[in-house]
Amino acid sequence: MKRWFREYWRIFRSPSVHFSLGALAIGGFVAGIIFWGGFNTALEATNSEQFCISCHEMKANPFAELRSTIHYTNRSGVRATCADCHVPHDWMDKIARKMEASKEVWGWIFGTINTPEKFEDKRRELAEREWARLQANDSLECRNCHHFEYMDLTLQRNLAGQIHSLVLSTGQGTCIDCHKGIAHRLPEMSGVPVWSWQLLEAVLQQPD
Amino acid sequence: MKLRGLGGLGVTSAVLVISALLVINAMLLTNAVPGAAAAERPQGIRSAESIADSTQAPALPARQQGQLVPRVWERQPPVIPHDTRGQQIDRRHNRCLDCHQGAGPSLTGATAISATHYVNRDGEALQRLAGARYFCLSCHVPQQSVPLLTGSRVSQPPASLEENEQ
Repeated sequence: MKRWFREYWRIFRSPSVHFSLGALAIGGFVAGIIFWGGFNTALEATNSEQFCISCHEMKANPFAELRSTIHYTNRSGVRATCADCHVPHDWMDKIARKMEASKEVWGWIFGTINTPEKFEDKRRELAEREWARLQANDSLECRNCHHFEYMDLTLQRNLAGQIHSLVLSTGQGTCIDCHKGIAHRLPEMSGVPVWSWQLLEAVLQQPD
Repeated sequence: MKLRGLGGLGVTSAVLVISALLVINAMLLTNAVPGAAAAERPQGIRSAESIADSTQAPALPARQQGQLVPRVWERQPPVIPHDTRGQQIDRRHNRCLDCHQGAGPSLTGATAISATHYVNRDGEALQRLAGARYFCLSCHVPQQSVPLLTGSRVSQPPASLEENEQ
Protein backbone atom coordinates (compact mmCIF):
# COMPACT_ATOMS: atom_id res chain seq x y z
CA MET A 1 0.00 0.00 0.00
CA LYS A 2 2.71 2.40 1.01
CA ARG A 3 4.86 1.41 -1.95
CA TRP A 4 1.91 1.85 -4.30
CA PHE A 5 1.28 5.29 -2.90
CA ARG A 6 4.96 6.26 -3.14
CA GLU A 7 5.09 5.12 -6.77
CA TYR A 8 2.15 7.35 -7.69
CA TRP A 9 3.58 10.25 -5.73
CA ARG A 10 6.79 9.93 -7.77
CA ILE A 11 4.85 9.97 -11.07
CA PHE A 12 2.82 12.91 -9.81
CA ARG A 13 5.91 14.89 -8.93
CA SER A 14 8.04 14.19 -12.03
CA PRO A 15 7.74 16.41 -15.12
CA SER A 16 5.67 15.28 -18.08
CA VAL A 17 7.59 13.24 -20.65
CA HIS A 18 5.07 12.82 -23.50
CA PHE A 19 2.80 15.86 -23.28
CA SER A 20 3.80 19.39 -24.09
CA LEU A 21 3.31 22.15 -21.58
CA GLY A 22 0.76 23.78 -23.88
CA ALA A 23 -1.33 20.60 -24.16
CA LEU A 24 -1.27 20.20 -20.40
CA ALA A 25 -2.20 23.82 -19.80
CA ILE A 26 -5.05 23.80 -22.30
CA GLY A 27 -6.15 20.32 -21.23
CA GLY A 28 -6.15 21.44 -17.61
CA PHE A 29 -8.11 24.55 -18.51
CA VAL A 30 -10.77 22.60 -20.37
CA ALA A 31 -10.96 19.98 -17.63
CA GLY A 32 -11.33 22.80 -15.13
CA ILE A 33 -14.28 24.27 -17.00
CA ILE A 34 -15.93 20.88 -17.22
CA PHE A 35 -15.33 20.19 -13.55
CA TRP A 36 -16.54 23.57 -12.38
CA GLY A 37 -19.59 23.48 -14.61
CA GLY A 38 -20.38 19.97 -13.47
CA PHE A 39 -19.92 20.93 -9.85
CA ASN A 40 -22.25 23.88 -10.09
CA THR A 41 -24.80 21.95 -12.09
CA ALA A 42 -24.83 19.23 -9.45
CA LEU A 43 -25.11 21.86 -6.73
CA GLU A 44 -27.95 23.53 -8.58
CA ALA A 45 -29.71 20.18 -8.90
CA THR A 46 -29.70 19.79 -5.13
CA ASN A 47 -31.46 23.15 -4.94
CA SER A 48 -34.47 22.07 -6.95
CA GLU A 49 -37.87 21.42 -5.49
CA GLN A 50 -37.77 18.02 -7.14
CA PHE A 51 -34.66 17.13 -5.16
CA CYS A 52 -36.04 18.36 -1.84
CA ILE A 53 -39.26 16.42 -2.06
CA SER A 54 -37.55 13.27 -3.25
CA CYS A 55 -37.35 12.57 0.48
CA HIS A 56 -40.64 11.45 1.96
CA GLU A 57 -40.04 13.56 5.09
CA MET A 58 -39.95 16.78 3.09
CA LYS A 59 -42.76 15.88 0.74
CA ALA A 60 -45.21 14.81 3.43
CA ASN A 61 -44.58 17.59 5.95
CA PRO A 62 -43.10 20.97 5.03
CA PHE A 63 -43.90 20.72 1.33
CA ALA A 64 -47.50 19.71 1.96
CA GLU A 65 -47.89 22.82 4.12
CA LEU A 66 -46.26 25.07 1.54
CA ARG A 67 -48.73 24.05 -1.14
CA SER A 68 -51.61 26.13 0.16
CA THR A 69 -49.58 29.29 0.70
CA ILE A 70 -49.07 32.29 -1.54
CA HIS A 71 -45.44 31.36 -2.08
CA TYR A 72 -46.45 28.16 -3.81
CA THR A 73 -49.36 29.28 -5.94
CA ASN A 74 -50.69 32.74 -6.71
CA ARG A 75 -52.27 34.78 -9.46
CA SER A 76 -49.07 35.71 -11.29
CA GLY A 77 -47.13 32.45 -10.98
CA VAL A 78 -44.01 34.02 -9.55
CA ARG A 79 -43.08 31.70 -6.77
CA ALA A 80 -40.51 30.81 -4.18
CA THR A 81 -39.70 27.20 -3.60
CA CYS A 82 -37.68 25.42 -0.89
CA ALA A 83 -34.19 26.59 -1.79
CA ASP A 84 -35.23 30.21 -2.34
CA CYS A 85 -35.83 30.63 1.37
CA HIS A 86 -33.69 27.92 2.90
CA VAL A 87 -30.47 28.13 0.89
CA PRO A 88 -28.48 31.37 0.70
CA HIS A 89 -27.83 32.63 -2.82
CA ASP A 90 -24.37 33.91 -2.04
CA TRP A 91 -21.76 31.31 -2.99
CA MET A 92 -19.76 31.11 0.24
CA ASP A 93 -22.89 31.01 2.39
CA LYS A 94 -24.41 28.49 0.03
CA ILE A 95 -21.45 26.11 0.38
CA ALA A 96 -21.53 26.57 4.15
CA ARG A 97 -25.24 25.72 4.19
CA LYS A 98 -24.71 22.73 1.93
CA MET A 99 -22.06 21.40 4.30
CA GLU A 100 -24.43 21.92 7.20
CA ALA A 101 -27.02 19.98 5.26
CA SER A 102 -24.94 16.84 5.62
CA LYS A 103 -26.53 16.60 9.04
CA GLU A 104 -29.89 16.41 7.32
CA VAL A 105 -28.64 13.37 5.40
CA TRP A 106 -27.81 11.86 8.77
CA GLY A 107 -31.31 12.67 9.97
CA TRP A 108 -32.73 11.09 6.86
CA ILE A 109 -30.74 7.87 7.32
CA PHE A 110 -31.85 7.50 10.93
CA GLY A 111 -35.40 8.73 10.31
CA THR A 112 -35.37 11.65 12.77
CA ILE A 113 -38.59 13.11 11.38
CA ASN A 114 -39.94 10.32 9.21
CA THR A 115 -43.43 10.31 10.74
CA PRO A 116 -45.85 13.21 11.21
CA GLU A 117 -45.61 12.69 14.99
CA LYS A 118 -41.83 12.94 15.02
CA PHE A 119 -41.99 16.00 12.80
CA GLU A 120 -44.54 17.57 15.13
CA ASP A 121 -42.27 16.96 18.13
CA LYS A 122 -39.41 18.67 16.36
CA ARG A 123 -41.42 21.45 14.75
CA ARG A 124 -40.60 24.10 17.32
CA GLU A 125 -36.89 23.24 17.28
CA LEU A 126 -36.72 23.28 13.49
CA ALA A 127 -38.66 26.53 13.29
CA GLU A 128 -36.49 28.19 15.89
CA ARG A 129 -33.38 27.28 13.93
CA GLU A 130 -34.73 28.96 10.81
CA TRP A 131 -35.93 32.03 12.71
CA ALA A 132 -32.49 32.39 14.25
CA ARG A 133 -30.82 32.03 10.87
CA LEU A 134 -33.02 34.68 9.25
CA GLN A 135 -32.64 36.94 12.25
CA ALA A 136 -28.87 36.67 11.96
CA ASN A 137 -28.70 37.50 8.25
CA ASP A 138 -31.35 40.26 8.39
CA SER A 139 -33.90 38.14 6.52
CA LEU A 140 -31.63 37.93 3.52
CA GLU A 141 -33.66 35.24 1.78
CA CYS A 142 -36.83 37.34 2.04
CA ARG A 143 -34.99 40.34 0.68
CA ASN A 144 -33.71 38.44 -2.33
CA CYS A 145 -37.17 39.07 -3.77
CA HIS A 146 -38.84 41.60 -1.46
CA HIS A 147 -36.83 44.80 -1.82
CA PHE A 148 -37.72 47.35 0.79
CA GLU A 149 -36.52 50.22 -1.41
CA TYR A 150 -39.14 49.38 -4.02
CA MET A 151 -42.08 48.77 -1.70
CA ASP A 152 -44.86 51.27 -2.22
CA LEU A 153 -45.91 51.69 1.39
CA THR A 154 -49.00 53.64 0.36
CA LEU A 155 -50.34 50.57 -1.41
CA GLN A 156 -49.99 48.48 1.72
CA ARG A 157 -52.66 48.24 4.32
CA ASN A 158 -52.60 51.16 6.68
CA LEU A 159 -50.99 49.45 9.63
CA ALA A 160 -48.59 47.38 7.55
CA GLY A 161 -47.30 50.47 5.80
CA GLN A 162 -46.86 52.26 9.09
CA ILE A 163 -44.97 49.42 10.68
CA HIS A 164 -42.77 48.92 7.64
CA SER A 165 -41.82 52.56 7.53
CA LEU A 166 -41.23 52.78 11.27
CA VAL A 167 -39.66 49.44 12.08
CA LEU A 168 -38.24 48.00 8.90
CA SER A 169 -36.78 51.13 7.37
CA THR A 170 -34.97 52.04 10.58
CA GLY A 171 -33.52 48.56 10.91
CA GLN A 172 -35.10 48.09 14.34
CA GLY A 173 -36.77 44.99 13.08
CA THR A 174 -36.41 42.55 10.25
CA CYS A 175 -38.94 40.63 8.16
CA ILE A 176 -38.91 37.46 10.26
CA ASP A 177 -39.80 39.41 13.43
CA CYS A 178 -43.38 39.60 12.27
CA HIS A 179 -43.63 37.29 9.27
CA LYS A 180 -43.28 33.91 10.91
CA GLY A 181 -45.25 30.94 9.71
CA ILE A 182 -45.90 32.30 6.24
CA ALA A 183 -44.85 29.19 4.34
CA HIS A 184 -45.29 26.49 6.95
CA ARG A 185 -47.60 26.11 9.92
CA LEU A 186 -46.47 27.69 13.14
CA PRO A 187 -45.40 25.48 16.02
CA GLU A 188 -46.78 25.87 19.51
CA MET A 189 -45.82 29.51 20.12
CA SER A 190 -45.73 29.92 23.89
CA GLY A 191 -43.05 32.43 24.77
CA VAL A 192 -42.55 33.63 21.21
CA PRO A 193 -43.69 37.20 20.55
CA VAL A 194 -45.51 36.65 17.27
CA TRP A 195 -45.53 40.21 16.04
CA SER A 196 -42.87 41.42 18.44
CA TRP A 197 -45.52 43.61 20.07
CA GLN A 198 -43.08 45.13 22.51
CA LEU A 199 -40.96 46.33 19.64
CA LEU A 200 -43.95 47.74 17.81
CA GLU A 201 -45.36 49.37 20.91
CA ALA A 202 -42.07 51.08 21.61
CA VAL A 203 -41.75 52.32 18.05
CA LEU A 204 -45.35 53.40 17.60
CA GLN A 205 -45.33 55.36 20.81
CA GLN A 206 -42.30 57.39 19.85
CA PRO A 207 -43.12 61.05 19.28
CA ASP A 208 -43.06 62.00 15.60
CA MET B 1 -51.18 -13.40 -45.37
CA LYS B 2 -53.64 -12.88 -42.59
CA LEU B 3 -52.78 -9.20 -42.51
CA ARG B 4 -53.49 -8.84 -46.19
CA GLY B 5 -56.90 -10.47 -45.68
CA LEU B 6 -57.72 -7.88 -43.06
CA GLY B 7 -56.51 -5.09 -45.30
CA GLY B 8 -59.07 -5.93 -47.96
CA LEU B 9 -62.65 -6.13 -46.81
CA GLY B 10 -61.90 -6.13 -43.08
CA VAL B 11 -60.79 -2.52 -42.76
CA THR B 12 -63.67 -1.13 -44.80
CA SER B 13 -66.26 -2.86 -42.69
CA ALA B 14 -64.49 -1.81 -39.49
CA VAL B 15 -64.57 1.83 -40.64
CA LEU B 16 -68.28 1.50 -41.42
CA VAL B 17 -69.08 0.04 -37.99
CA ILE B 18 -67.10 2.72 -36.18
CA SER B 19 -68.66 5.58 -38.10
CA ALA B 20 -72.13 4.13 -37.46
CA LEU B 21 -71.35 4.05 -33.74
CA LEU B 22 -70.15 7.64 -33.87
CA VAL B 23 -73.34 8.78 -35.56
CA ILE B 24 -75.48 7.03 -32.94
CA ASN B 25 -73.38 8.57 -30.21
CA ALA B 26 -73.69 12.02 -31.68
CA MET B 27 -77.45 11.63 -31.93
CA LEU B 28 -77.68 10.66 -28.30
CA LEU B 29 -75.49 13.51 -27.14
CA THR B 30 -76.99 16.28 -29.22
CA ASN B 31 -80.49 15.39 -28.13
CA ALA B 32 -81.82 14.39 -31.53
CA VAL B 33 -85.43 14.56 -30.34
CA PRO B 34 -85.80 17.94 -28.63
CA GLY B 35 -88.90 19.13 -26.83
CA ALA B 36 -90.53 16.11 -25.31
CA ALA B 37 -87.32 14.61 -24.00
CA ALA B 38 -86.08 17.85 -22.43
CA ALA B 39 -89.17 18.31 -20.30
CA GLU B 40 -88.87 14.84 -18.84
CA ARG B 41 -85.31 15.37 -17.66
CA PRO B 42 -84.80 16.00 -13.97
CA GLN B 43 -84.30 19.70 -13.25
CA GLY B 44 -82.14 20.46 -10.28
CA ILE B 45 -81.22 23.84 -8.92
CA ARG B 46 -78.69 24.09 -11.68
CA SER B 47 -79.53 26.63 -14.34
CA ALA B 48 -78.38 24.28 -17.07
CA GLU B 49 -80.72 22.32 -19.26
CA SER B 50 -79.61 18.98 -17.87
CA ILE B 51 -76.80 17.38 -15.97
CA ALA B 52 -75.15 16.43 -19.25
CA ASP B 53 -74.53 20.10 -20.08
CA SER B 54 -71.64 21.85 -18.48
CA THR B 55 -72.31 25.29 -17.13
CA GLN B 56 -69.93 28.13 -16.64
CA ALA B 57 -69.00 28.75 -13.05
CA PRO B 58 -69.98 32.21 -11.79
CA ALA B 59 -67.13 34.57 -11.05
CA LEU B 60 -65.84 34.46 -7.49
CA PRO B 61 -67.38 37.34 -5.56
CA ALA B 62 -65.02 39.90 -4.15
CA ARG B 63 -64.47 39.70 -0.43
CA GLN B 64 -65.78 42.58 1.58
CA GLN B 65 -62.57 44.05 2.74
CA GLY B 66 -61.93 46.60 5.43
CA GLN B 67 -65.46 47.72 6.21
CA LEU B 68 -67.25 46.50 9.29
CA VAL B 69 -70.43 44.71 8.31
CA PRO B 70 -73.36 45.72 10.54
CA ARG B 71 -75.04 42.95 12.49
CA VAL B 72 -78.49 41.82 11.45
CA TRP B 73 -79.64 41.04 14.97
CA GLU B 74 -78.21 41.62 18.36
CA ARG B 75 -75.81 38.93 19.52
CA GLN B 76 -75.17 37.88 15.96
CA PRO B 77 -71.53 36.83 15.75
CA PRO B 78 -69.99 39.71 13.79
CA VAL B 79 -68.76 38.71 10.36
CA ILE B 80 -65.10 39.05 9.46
CA PRO B 81 -64.39 42.10 7.29
CA HIS B 82 -61.12 40.77 5.85
CA ASP B 83 -59.64 37.83 4.02
CA THR B 84 -58.77 34.82 6.14
CA ARG B 85 -56.94 32.83 3.51
CA GLY B 86 -54.10 30.82 4.97
CA GLN B 87 -54.61 32.07 8.51
CA GLN B 88 -53.66 29.25 10.81
CA ILE B 89 -56.14 28.09 13.44
CA ASP B 90 -55.15 24.76 14.90
CA ARG B 91 -54.07 23.32 18.22
CA ARG B 92 -50.59 24.80 17.84
CA HIS B 93 -51.55 28.35 17.14
CA ASN B 94 -54.48 30.65 16.46
CA ARG B 95 -53.52 33.43 14.09
CA CYS B 96 -56.65 35.48 14.81
CA LEU B 97 -55.52 35.99 18.39
CA ASP B 98 -52.32 37.69 17.22
CA CYS B 99 -54.36 40.81 16.44
CA HIS B 100 -57.67 40.34 18.24
CA GLN B 101 -56.27 39.69 21.70
CA GLY B 102 -53.82 41.22 24.16
CA ALA B 103 -51.97 44.25 22.86
CA GLY B 104 -53.31 43.59 19.37
CA PRO B 105 -56.55 45.60 19.31
CA SER B 106 -55.00 48.80 20.68
CA LEU B 107 -52.18 48.68 18.15
CA THR B 108 -53.94 47.39 15.07
CA GLY B 109 -57.48 48.64 15.57
CA ALA B 110 -58.76 45.09 15.34
CA THR B 111 -61.96 44.32 17.19
CA ALA B 112 -61.16 42.94 20.63
CA ILE B 113 -62.64 39.59 21.53
CA SER B 114 -65.75 39.94 23.66
CA ALA B 115 -65.42 39.27 27.40
CA THR B 116 -68.02 36.53 27.04
CA HIS B 117 -65.37 34.45 25.29
CA TYR B 118 -63.26 34.26 28.43
CA VAL B 119 -65.92 32.46 30.42
CA ASN B 120 -66.26 28.71 30.24
CA ARG B 121 -69.56 26.90 30.05
CA ASP B 122 -69.76 26.66 33.83
CA GLY B 123 -69.61 30.43 34.10
CA GLU B 124 -66.10 30.56 35.52
CA ALA B 125 -63.94 33.43 34.35
CA LEU B 126 -60.71 32.29 32.71
CA GLN B 127 -57.36 33.95 32.09
CA ARG B 128 -57.33 32.73 28.51
CA LEU B 129 -59.84 32.19 25.75
CA ALA B 130 -62.38 29.48 26.59
CA GLY B 131 -61.72 26.26 24.72
CA ALA B 132 -65.20 26.25 23.23
CA ARG B 133 -64.49 29.67 21.66
CA TYR B 134 -61.12 28.75 20.23
CA PHE B 135 -62.15 28.04 16.66
CA CYS B 136 -63.19 31.52 15.51
CA LEU B 137 -64.49 30.45 12.11
CA SER B 138 -67.15 28.23 13.67
CA CYS B 139 -69.24 31.36 14.26
CA HIS B 140 -67.43 34.26 12.58
CA VAL B 141 -67.03 34.05 8.83
CA PRO B 142 -65.86 36.36 6.05
CA GLN B 143 -68.83 37.92 4.31
CA GLN B 144 -69.48 37.99 0.58
CA SER B 145 -72.22 39.53 -1.50
CA VAL B 146 -73.72 36.67 -3.43
CA PRO B 147 -77.21 36.09 -4.77
CA LEU B 148 -79.12 33.67 -2.58
CA LEU B 149 -79.38 30.18 -4.02
CA THR B 150 -82.76 29.76 -2.42
CA GLY B 151 -85.06 32.24 -0.71
CA SER B 152 -85.11 32.74 3.01
CA ARG B 153 -88.01 33.68 5.23
CA VAL B 154 -85.84 34.59 8.18
CA SER B 155 -86.19 38.34 8.70
CA GLN B 156 -85.73 38.46 12.45
CA PRO B 157 -84.04 36.34 15.06
CA PRO B 158 -85.69 33.04 15.89
CA ALA B 159 -88.17 33.29 18.75
CA SER B 160 -86.03 31.04 20.90
CA LEU B 161 -83.17 33.53 20.75
CA GLU B 162 -85.43 36.41 21.75
CA GLU B 163 -86.59 34.53 24.80
CA ASN B 164 -83.03 34.00 25.86
CA GLU B 165 -82.34 37.70 25.72
CA GLN B 166 -84.90 38.43 28.42
